[in-house]
Amino acid sequence: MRVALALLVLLAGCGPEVGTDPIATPDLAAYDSVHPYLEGRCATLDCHGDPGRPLRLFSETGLRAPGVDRDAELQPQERMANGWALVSVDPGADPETHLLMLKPLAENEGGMHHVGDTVWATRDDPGYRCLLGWLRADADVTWESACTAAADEWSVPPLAP
Amino acid sequence: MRPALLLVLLAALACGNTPEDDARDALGDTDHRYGGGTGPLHRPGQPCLLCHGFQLAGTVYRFEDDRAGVEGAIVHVTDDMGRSSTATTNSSGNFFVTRGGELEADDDGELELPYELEYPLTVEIEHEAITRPMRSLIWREGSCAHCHGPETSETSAGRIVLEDTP
Repeated sequence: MRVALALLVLLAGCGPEVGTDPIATPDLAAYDSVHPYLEGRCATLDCHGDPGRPLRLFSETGLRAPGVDRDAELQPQERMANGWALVSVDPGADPETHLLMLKPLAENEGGMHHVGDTVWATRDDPGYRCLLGWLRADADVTWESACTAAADEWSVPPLAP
Repeated sequence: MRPALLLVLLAALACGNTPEDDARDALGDTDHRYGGGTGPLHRPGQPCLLCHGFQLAGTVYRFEDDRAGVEGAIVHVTDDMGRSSTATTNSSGNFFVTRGGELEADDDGELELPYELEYPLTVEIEHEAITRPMRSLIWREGSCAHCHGPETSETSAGRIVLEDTP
């Protein structure tokens, strides 16, 4: 019995290493490139802006951090929380196999079941290329043009004057 | 005797509330204006789909602080297939979209559609000379009050209103 217990304790200590991968830390400086797309496509109050759902995202028209006015622009603490929430979906994973990239991707493209349905039909989707570039913290900033294309399609329009 | 007792205990443990049950219970007896009836006028501003199998439903107010909703407001809904339809709010400000055999809009707030709405939905409200589009899309939630709670807060966009409070 004691041997079995010792084995169990040893096994419990054999989890994956966390924090050694380059994307264990979010690229917060570049977060604003991905936010307009995320706000319109993912962070609405009925999806990831619902505090009861996994991957909680703050946004101007969705969930606000405690104490932040509803109409305020995105606050530094919200930006930071979103960045960490995104990478923490799958800490230490490679960008290409990160759950953040697989959950929204169509299952016939290697993606996974997503309660919010398929978001990207293929890996060519601008939203996919946008988030992947951000996760990789690519020095080649062509991914930012993908973010612009994704935001053009999905971002929330500004308040009417 | 003991196995039977154990079975009863296990059965009792399995009878917990679902989150939807808890959300319904939390509403309590709050239908003060309409006295708790079950018709199309009842429980304005509350999350309709907790109890009803509508496709989409909600309440339109003129101002956020109003106690009563707006009658005759038009709710334009366009789904992902590009199909547009309009519902008109009843005297408590309620509207509700149901699935039926043919397209039919009633003055009791019901819009019957011969198809399932495909998300995302684009919504705009209109009344007299005012039109107001919803800035974000609806991706999955048919109860407007799920996101548009009675108070504006960190987790709620506040009531659906035609005009900002002056």
